[in-house]
Amino acid sequence: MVSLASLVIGPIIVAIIFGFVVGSRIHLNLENSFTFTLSGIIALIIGVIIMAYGLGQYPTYDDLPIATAFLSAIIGILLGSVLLGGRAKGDH
Amino acid sequence: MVEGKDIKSTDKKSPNWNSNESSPILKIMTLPIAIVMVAMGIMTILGGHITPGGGFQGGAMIAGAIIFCIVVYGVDGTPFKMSHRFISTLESFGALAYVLLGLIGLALTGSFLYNIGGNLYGVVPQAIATIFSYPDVTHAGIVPYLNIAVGLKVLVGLSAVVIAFSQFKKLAEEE
Repeated sequence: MVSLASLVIGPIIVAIIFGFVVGSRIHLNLENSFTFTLSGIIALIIGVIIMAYGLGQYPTYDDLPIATAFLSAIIGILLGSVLLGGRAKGDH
Repeated sequence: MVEGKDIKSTDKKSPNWNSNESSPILKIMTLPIAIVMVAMGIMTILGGHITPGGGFQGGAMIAGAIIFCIVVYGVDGTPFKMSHRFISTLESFGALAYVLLGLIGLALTGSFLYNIGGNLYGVVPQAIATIFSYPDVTHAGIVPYLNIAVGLKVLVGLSAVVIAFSQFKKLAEEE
């Protein structure tokens, strides 16, 4: 039985923060790479949800049948890159 | 040297990581795959206390995603813009977090890196143990935090090595 009351929040919060930090360095709209339009992001999210279901949750976690840390990391990466990624500058 | 056989070291073509000559298929697919690889690395780091893997393995996976983009897009055109300041900040944060967690255990119990969140021997007050407890069903204490610190250090360490190697040729051309 799936119950949101027993949702393990530790990996979700840390994965979002970790993904945000790494994603804040990713440019999503460079000319020489894949340009993330809204449809591209939706396609990525659909593929990621299927992957998360295939991966499954960590052992001993009985909250949801999908990998919540993986999904949260993707959300954090996309949030970080959308909010801060365009301003990131590298030394190289 | 064998007579008649000139060994030409310049015959071997080295990869030009500063150019942008990858095929369109690679250019289209690499960034979404790299994003998924980063998420897999984060998942590996956060599951380090209950599944195979941990900080080093997850950090290496994230660095692999960054290296993947550098190889395909070139070091100048990669979507991962890793500045020197960002790299040094993450590296310092990871090292400091690891040492501070160890020193807190040393100060409270006399043992360096004592698991004050798990508190198996009951020598730490419960209020302090609650602060360092990871919100999880396994009550792993500070072990996930140590994994995160190690993961941060490894991800920036490995990617910094490849960024430095990829820039040597550019530096040599400029000189």
